[in-house]
Amino acid sequence: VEAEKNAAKERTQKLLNLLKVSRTVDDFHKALGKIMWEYCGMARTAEGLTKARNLFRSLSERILERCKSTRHCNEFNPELDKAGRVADFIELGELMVIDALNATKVVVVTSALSTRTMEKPKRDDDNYTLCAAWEFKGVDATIPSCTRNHSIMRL
Amino acid sequence: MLTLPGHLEDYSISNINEDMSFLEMMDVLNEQLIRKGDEPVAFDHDCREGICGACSMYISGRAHGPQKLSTTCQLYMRNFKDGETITIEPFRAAAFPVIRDLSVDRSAFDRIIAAGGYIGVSTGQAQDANALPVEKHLADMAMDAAACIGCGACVAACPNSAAMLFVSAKISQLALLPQGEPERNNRAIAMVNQMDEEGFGNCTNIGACEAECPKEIKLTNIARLNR
Repeated sequence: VEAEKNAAKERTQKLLNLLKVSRTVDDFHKALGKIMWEYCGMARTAEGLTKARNLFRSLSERILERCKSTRHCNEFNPELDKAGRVADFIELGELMVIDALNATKVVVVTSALSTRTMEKPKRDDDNYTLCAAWEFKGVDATIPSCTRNHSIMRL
Repeated sequence: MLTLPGHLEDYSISNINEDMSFLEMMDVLNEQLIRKGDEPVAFDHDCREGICGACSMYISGRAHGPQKLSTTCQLYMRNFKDGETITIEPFRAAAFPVIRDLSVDRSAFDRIIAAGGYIGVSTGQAQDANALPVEKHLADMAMDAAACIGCGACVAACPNSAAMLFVSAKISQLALLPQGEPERNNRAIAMVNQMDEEGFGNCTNIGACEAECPKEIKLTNIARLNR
């Protein structure tokens, strides 16, 4: 419990210390939305997703480093509250991108540009269904160490 | 923590679109303040679609602002004139202590609800939906009372800071239905006692609560409570 408390304290302090100058939490939230919209929407490509992954990497580093708040952690601080949430969203967004990268061949009919044709959407039932489980291995380790563990399920 | 006496602060905001909601305007203000290195203004908000009851501003002398039947989040900047000075205060009542700026603690409402306790239902399989007949007009009235989102506008609007409209709506939504009938009287007494304990004022039938309620909760609920 003590270790968890310290970890939480450290994370809060990290968010706070680094919450300095130039960009607000909302800026990061909007940047996140733009990345998801551009590269992880209905139509996605492996190149776009890879690009998004790199963008996320720098975004999550920057939210911790550059976000701005003027208050402390022992009082009512809605900006810190928001920063914590947006940091979580960035993590989740990154996972969605990685998941989509793994599923490039199997995402829903309209999505993978590599399999789209001018006629009817081309079905690929062999690779169509994917069930993936992701394991959380700590904030810093999350994305790089996520191992893909999936098996093709036939419906 | 530094506690300063309350005061009004003047801010000028530009780039406000008429299609922005009031809370989006507040977001723009806070973005401006943060960029300048000033403290952002704390305010309550959550769903921003008029159903959660979290937003709570007293805008130019009206709870939830000048638009009828709307919460602050559903109020749009087109309801104001260009260049207008808007006065924003927190919901003020002794039972709603200010946390910071426009943010107030309305957990007194939660304690009133908790004081209401439970309704007795049999466990096991859910009974047939039509097993307990409820007359249409009673069901409608219960639904109307249940529309209360517990925002506290009634308390803020009331010169006595009375919570009677809120409490009567919460009591009525159950009292009108057969479920919970055995606990009905005790529930009402417990909730009213808790309301008094929290320091809400008494009702003098002014009706400001009904006029400002974003969910059209009627004074008749108060009459039902008093019976």
